Order: sequence, then structure tokens, then C-alpha cells
Amino acid sequence: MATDTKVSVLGKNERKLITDPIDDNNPVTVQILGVCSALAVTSQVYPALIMAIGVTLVTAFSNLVTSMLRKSIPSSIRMIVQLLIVAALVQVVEMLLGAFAYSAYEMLSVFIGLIITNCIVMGRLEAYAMANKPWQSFLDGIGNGLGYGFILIIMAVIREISGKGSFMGWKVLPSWYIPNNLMVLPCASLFLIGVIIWVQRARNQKLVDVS
Amino acid sequence: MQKGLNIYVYVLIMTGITALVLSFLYNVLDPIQAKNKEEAKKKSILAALPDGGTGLDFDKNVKVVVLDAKGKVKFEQKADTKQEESDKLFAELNKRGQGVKYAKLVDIDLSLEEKFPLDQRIYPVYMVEGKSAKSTIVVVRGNGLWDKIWGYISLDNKEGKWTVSGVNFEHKAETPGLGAEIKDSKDFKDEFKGKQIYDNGGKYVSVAVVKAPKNKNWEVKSISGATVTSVGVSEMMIRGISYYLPYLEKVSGKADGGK
Repeated sequence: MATDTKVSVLGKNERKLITDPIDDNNPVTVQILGVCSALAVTSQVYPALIMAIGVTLVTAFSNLVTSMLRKSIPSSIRMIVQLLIVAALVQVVEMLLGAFAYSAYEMLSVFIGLIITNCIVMGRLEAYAMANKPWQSFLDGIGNGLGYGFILIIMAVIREISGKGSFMGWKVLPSWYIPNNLMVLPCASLFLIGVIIWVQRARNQKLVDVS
Repeated sequence: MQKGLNIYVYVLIMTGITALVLSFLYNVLDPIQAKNKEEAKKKSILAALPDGGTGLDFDKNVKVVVLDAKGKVKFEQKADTKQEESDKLFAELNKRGQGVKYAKLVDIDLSLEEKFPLDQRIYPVYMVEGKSAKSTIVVVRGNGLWDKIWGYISLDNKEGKWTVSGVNFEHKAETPGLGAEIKDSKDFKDEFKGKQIYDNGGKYVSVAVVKAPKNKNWEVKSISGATVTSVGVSEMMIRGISYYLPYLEKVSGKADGGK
């Protein structure tokens, strides 16, 4: 491994681990992972933000723990062990929120289950954390969580403003604007994510070859 | 065989460590969470008041009345109610089994009462004595799209007519931005203010949630994109308040008689 020789906390490669998943290798729009939850929780900005934070925490720490254990995990049961780590972490996050951030916990508790089933988490464990060092894996987890959250928030901002005329619950559009109820419905997120993928590919030519 | 054994040992150790960590955290954090939950419930009840219950202290300003399944008063908390009296009530209620153990009046919850057959259930009423107004808060519970929804309805007795002065809805798992709007949208909750639960002929109608409200006194507009949840709220308002009717009618009848 080339990176093994170079010890660096936030070198060029490490920065790339964080920035890459936000655009060039976005888990939602490029890898098309975690789309289900991206469609489900984006009708408003606040829940999308909470969901983004939750997923980022879980991907980062499950990547870290899996990477630390990667040499000892027997390959035939690695999925089960990964699942155990993810489930335990989600439970820890849920308990901490319940004790110290109850209002956020009330909003998040529904989506905790969605975090366990989010393909991005397992995807990163399999594709990255099983083969890389803990610190790099941790950064990779943060990067992918941010990439996921970035798309979530773009969608939520567009949907909340056009569908409700508000942003984070505050009215931002004048009263003559009649909110477009279609944008709040689940189907709107489906074509919105299509438009986002289209715009991203038109702008970033690198991605055209990937598909 | 040797390799297979290693895997079993590995799985056992991993599960053991995870279980230890989680149970340790649970023991430390659960009491804090339970306290948060109780505080949140008290706040949620007071939030049904027209002014959101600001400046009120649940323990000081709220007295709990417990009704039996027929709507008759089973227990009434007064300023001089002693602990033994409420303990007697809890002993009687806890005898019903189903793992329901009440230790405080605020513990009484329709989510637990649902475990019992209809004729064994009890219903709490919260009598709020604020600085200016007196309100009666009743609890309703029903089904949303994904899971249970419930609400606290603040009622005022205006010249013998029960009028909704405010509502606060809660839900377990409704979709944010759609069904969850019953809790998050102030506009939706504000619509209930001033609605009456009896029609002009004195018949119980409650407040209905409909797509196009025609009758200003008894109907509110549903949330678009959340039809099932809106229908659930409507059903909950009709059925939920009906359990309290004998009590409400007794109170309003008395109020008239006193004049």
C-alpha cells in the first residue's frame, strides 16, 4: 500500500477522501446508494439536516471501528460483524441523543432504523474500511456522510421553498406565491434527484464515462 | 474444524463486548432519558393551551382528574390531596396487570391504557389554572399512517358551550413534511382554535378534518399529501373526545345551574 509509507494527518490524499464523495464520487448521485432515504426525508430542511448528521456520524465511526478490526474479522462472517458494529453504533447514537438532545432525538428516532439500512454505511465498510487504515477510513466515512448530506440538503431546500414557501420553517416567499403542493409529495423527490444527476453530469464531464 | 471454532469464539466475543457496552450505556443514560420524556410530556400537555403554556409549571398549575371507562370521576387531585390517596389509586390501577405500573399521576398514559379492554380503561383530564384562564385538557389517541398519533385538546367552557381553545398533536412515526405536519405546522393546529364540539342543536359532532371545509365552526382543512394522517386526526377527534363527554356535560351542566 502506497499510503502506508506516508504518515500524514490531513495530507492531499486525506483531503481528497473528504472532498471526493461530495462531487466526483457522490454516494447518492454517482453511486446511486442510499437513494431511498434521500427521497423520503427531504421535504423539509430540518429533518434532512438531522438525518445527514446522523448518517455522517454512523458512517465515520463504523468505518473507524471496522478498519481497526479489519485484520481480525474472519472473512466468511465479515458482513455479520459489520452489521453488528453498525447496529450497535446506531443504538449508541440513539441513546446519547435521548439523554442529551431530546428534541433532536424525537425528530430522529424514526430515521434511526433507516440509518442501519442505508446502503452507504455497509457499502463504505465493504469497499473501503475493510482494506484501509483507521484514520483514512474515518475520513472516508465523514466524506461520504457529507456527500450524502449535501444532496439531501440541496433537495430539501428546493422542495421546502417551492413546496411550502418556507425555509427551516420560516416563511421566505411573499404571500402571493402559491406553494406547489406537488413538490412536497414523494414523487417530486424522484424527478428532482434525476434533475440533480443531470445537472451534475452536464457540469462534470468526468462522470459521463463512469456511467 | 479448528477454523470453524475460531469463528464461533470471535462471534461470541464480539457480541459479548457489544452487549456489555450497550447495557452499560443503557443503565447510565436511560434514567436521564426517562426524565427528559416526562418533562417533554408535561410540556406537550401545556402546549395545547392557546398561549403554548408559557410560564406555567405543570406540577403547580395542573391538577389531574382521572375518569373511569364510563366517564365518571374516579379520582380528583386537589391542592390538599395526600400521597396516600393517589397511592391507593395506583395500587388499584396496577392490579390490572399487563406490566402497567403507575407511580405518578403524570405517568397515566393512553398508550398504556390501550392494553386493557375498553371497560377497564381510565382517562386523564388535566385541569389547568393559569394566571388568567382555566382550561380543561383532554387526551385523544388514534392511528396515523405509520403508527400511533395522539393529541392534547384544550377545551374552554364558554357559556355552556365547549369550545376548543388550542390543540397539540404528537405522532410516533409520521412522514416529516407530510403527516408530521400535524405536529410541526402551527397553521394546522391554530385552525382548531375556536371550533366547537357540539352543533347548534346540541348534538356532539367534534371537529372534523376535511379537504374543503364548509362549516367554519366544526371543520378544519386537511394537510395536502397526508390524507391518511388527516383522516386519522379526524377519527381521533370524534372518538377520542367522546369518552370524555359524560364528564364534560356534567361540568357544563353544573356551570349553567350555578348561574
